[in-house]
Amino acid sequence: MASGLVLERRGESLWLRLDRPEKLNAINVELRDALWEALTLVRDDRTLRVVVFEGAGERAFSAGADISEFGTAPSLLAARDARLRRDLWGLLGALDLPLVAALRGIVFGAGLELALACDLRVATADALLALPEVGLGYIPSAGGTQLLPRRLPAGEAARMILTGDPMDAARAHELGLVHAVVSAAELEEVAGAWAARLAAFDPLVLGLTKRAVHRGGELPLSEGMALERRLAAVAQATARSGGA
Amino acid sequence: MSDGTTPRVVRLSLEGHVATMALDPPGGRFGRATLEAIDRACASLADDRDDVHVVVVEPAGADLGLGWDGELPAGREGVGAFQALAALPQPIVCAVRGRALSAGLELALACDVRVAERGAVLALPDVAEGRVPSGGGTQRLPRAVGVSQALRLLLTAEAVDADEALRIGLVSEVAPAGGAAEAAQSVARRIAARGPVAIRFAKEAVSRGIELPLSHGLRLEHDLTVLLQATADREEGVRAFLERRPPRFEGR
Repeated sequence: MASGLVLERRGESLWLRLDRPEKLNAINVELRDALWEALTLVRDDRTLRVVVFEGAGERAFSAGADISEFGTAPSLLAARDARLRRDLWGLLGALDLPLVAALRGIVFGAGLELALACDLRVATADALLALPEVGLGYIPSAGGTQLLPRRLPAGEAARMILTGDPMDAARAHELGLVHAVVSAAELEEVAGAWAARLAAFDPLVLGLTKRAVHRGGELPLSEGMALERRLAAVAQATARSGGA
Repeated sequence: MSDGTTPRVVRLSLEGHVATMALDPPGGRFGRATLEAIDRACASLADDRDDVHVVVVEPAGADLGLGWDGELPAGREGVGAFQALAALPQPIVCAVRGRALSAGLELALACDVRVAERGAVLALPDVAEGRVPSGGGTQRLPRAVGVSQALRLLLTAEAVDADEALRIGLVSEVAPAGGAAEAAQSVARRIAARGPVAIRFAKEAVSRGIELPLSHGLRLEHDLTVLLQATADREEGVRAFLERRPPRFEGR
């Protein structure tokens, strides 16, 4: 597909495949826009239960932003404006349905940031996770400086962000950053099994649970507890009235 | 960078863009003189030192630190000096050698990245001595390793070795015995090879962002990104990447 993104509906799951294998699935403006379009569809499609992200080819989930396009925005203001108007990463964070990342090989920069925006991550044993931006004179800008320290021990997040050095799958698994490490042959099967399991649960309950964790994590505990009670009551009331 | 007035307990040296702060508190215990010297060293490393890109904190002797000097008034210990360290704009890498107990570990926790060597022992044994940790341990340890592991270390006063520290994410690397300082220097040199403005902004985005609600943290990251887009370093970094050569950053 010309946009570099392949959408495949499998039952109640949507598989989004970053499909620029010759560019290690680097995310260019076109792919970014395609992701935006796809995720607005996801947001509005009530029949979808799970989204799985994967990368085409054997070598990479994604090498990150497509550097060859850097500096092509007409002006600083235009670049900033475009980002604020089409806030892809904000949209990802606002989705209520569970997001799964199937990671292999190179998972760098915006590729890792996309995976961090997901709820579950499975990786092949050869996966390498990195935020190499400081080596190019800038910083992760799709949530990496915020999400990685919220998913890893502080020192390990700082090491990755400040050195740009990669973390291998085994270490990422030890620290809980990825939830399973599998062989390349098993990757799709494991991600698919998770997707099937998630799709079998009440989507309202999953969505409210996810919201409780994400929003509650930003609140003082007492307010988080109150939020949890409210969301649990919503789920119960909906169940009593015969579903969403 | 040694100017003769720096007290012996804290020695600052500069190699390339990496400043090293070698600490030698008398008896391994942090007292007033040592804390004041750390404070002064931090002041000399703060904003006006654009040539210092990364700071390494390491013990001059066998141990990073054994605790507080008993003469300090209880509860009023190292917060100021350790806070000055944590607040440095440069990334800080700490070499954990020998024992890092109480104030010694709290010093390490004020740094951004920690590397240990085999034989290192890390603990916050303050409760066993009838005191609440007061160098930031109750705040920085949970933020470093999560509440569960932090409570175990804080309440049991139990020590962990280098491998266990690695497993729980308290340190990022375990070097062979005697190798912590070199391992810390190696991490520091790798950071110093990156964009100097970017690494300061990255530290700011991480350390301020984690204190903010996520949406505000993301906005901070975004604003710093836009600021970086106007730097010559970013232009050079991208060009060097495309030309497959090492970048020549100038810090502007």
